[in-house]
Amino acid sequence: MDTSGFEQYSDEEIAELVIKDKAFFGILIRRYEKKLGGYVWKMSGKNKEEIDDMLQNIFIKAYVNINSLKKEHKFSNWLYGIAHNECIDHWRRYKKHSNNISLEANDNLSAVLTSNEDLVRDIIDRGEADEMNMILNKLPYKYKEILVLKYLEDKSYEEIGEILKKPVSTIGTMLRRAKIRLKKYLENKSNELR
Amino acid sequence: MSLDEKILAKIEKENIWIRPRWFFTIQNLFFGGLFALMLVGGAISFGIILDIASFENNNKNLSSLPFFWMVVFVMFLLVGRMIVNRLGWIYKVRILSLVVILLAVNALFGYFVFASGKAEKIEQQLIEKLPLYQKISPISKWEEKNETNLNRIVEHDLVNIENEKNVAGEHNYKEADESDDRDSETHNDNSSLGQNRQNDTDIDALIKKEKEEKEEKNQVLLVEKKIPTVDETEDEDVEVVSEKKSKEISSQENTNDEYSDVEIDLAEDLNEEATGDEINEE
Repeated sequence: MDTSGFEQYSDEEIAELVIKDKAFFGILIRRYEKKLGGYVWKMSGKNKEEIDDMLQNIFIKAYVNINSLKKEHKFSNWLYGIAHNECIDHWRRYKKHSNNISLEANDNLSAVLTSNEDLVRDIIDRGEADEMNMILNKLPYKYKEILVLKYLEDKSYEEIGEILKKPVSTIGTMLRRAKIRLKKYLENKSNELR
Repeated sequence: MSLDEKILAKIEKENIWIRPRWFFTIQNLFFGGLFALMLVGGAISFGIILDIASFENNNKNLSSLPFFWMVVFVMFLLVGRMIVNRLGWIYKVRILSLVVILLAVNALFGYFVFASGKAEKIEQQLIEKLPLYQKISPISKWEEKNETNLNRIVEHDLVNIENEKNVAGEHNYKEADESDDRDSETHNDNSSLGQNRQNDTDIDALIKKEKEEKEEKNQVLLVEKKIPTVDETEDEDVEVVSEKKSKEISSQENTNDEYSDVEIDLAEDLNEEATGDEINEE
């Protein structure tokens, strides 16, 4: 079936159509392939093949459970929720073999630490997202996850709450703690390198 | 081959199908039911905690706390908390608020379970039907301890009764024994210390009554023997009278062995009395 005329439809409308014809699911895959790929990479740090496998699992789970998507839910949050669960499963399976990424001495990072009104945002704005990603791998998973969703995926508190199935107030608390941990880690690392 | 083509081909090839809506409806009902079950379980366990706490109101110590039911209650609460997250929008409520709400609901229903007497019934049923639970139930332990104490009291009382029986003599022995049997039955029936004490008092009263009756009989007998002796000494020869009385006494001796010693003493006294009078006359 030709689905080219449905590109302007919203995600939720397309999801309704998928129940009638699975060809419409292709539109949703194309829309979220890159976004989810980036998210999965940031959360797992795996190579392209492994990320493709994880993406396949995520989209197939979404297809099978598409009837559980309620009208009040936003499709993107619902899909991110599935991706979050897949990443947690993957992390649990492979946490013993996590990457040991070393942090190089970086003057820019040290400079950021001195004026950290919004530490993570500063790092990303300075074009150091890759470096940021390496640092995030050193943090506990729950903090890394929340930082990725907030600063790398640009999700709001409400959206993060919906994805992680947590109240908004808890998200705020977790985010604050995550930033404190990150700052502490960077300070320690910076002192070691001097 | 792009990712969407790969995935659609896989869906086609492996004949992957979309789960119908009713599947999710049943799933929600299942988790809802499980959550309700956790609430009921929590309420029952809370009711039993209240029941045990009120049962041991006069004997409060650390070991008498219903730890088992406390653990069960917390487990119901935690599992309920885990399940509730799967029920739609509940995840938006803060964990602490959710736990407080669950605790309040459980406490409320638990109080109703306790006040209606259901908690006590459930506790008793568990004690009767589960030997393992019998070992850990504070009520069962308390009853066992109480029974041991009662047994000690009963044994102590029995020894006392035996001593009293020895004092009371052969005649009272049978009656005391019967009372003792009655006593034991009373213990078996209701294990009541108060009733045991009451029976002891009855036995005491019985023994006392018997003694009094015996003394009364002796006194009457003495009076019967003495009065005619005094009257007849004025008219008849003392020696003849004493002989007559001796005969009477000896005849009564055959009929009433119980008082023979007293009568012989009496006869001897009379003889002595008569001899004394003769000496005086001379």
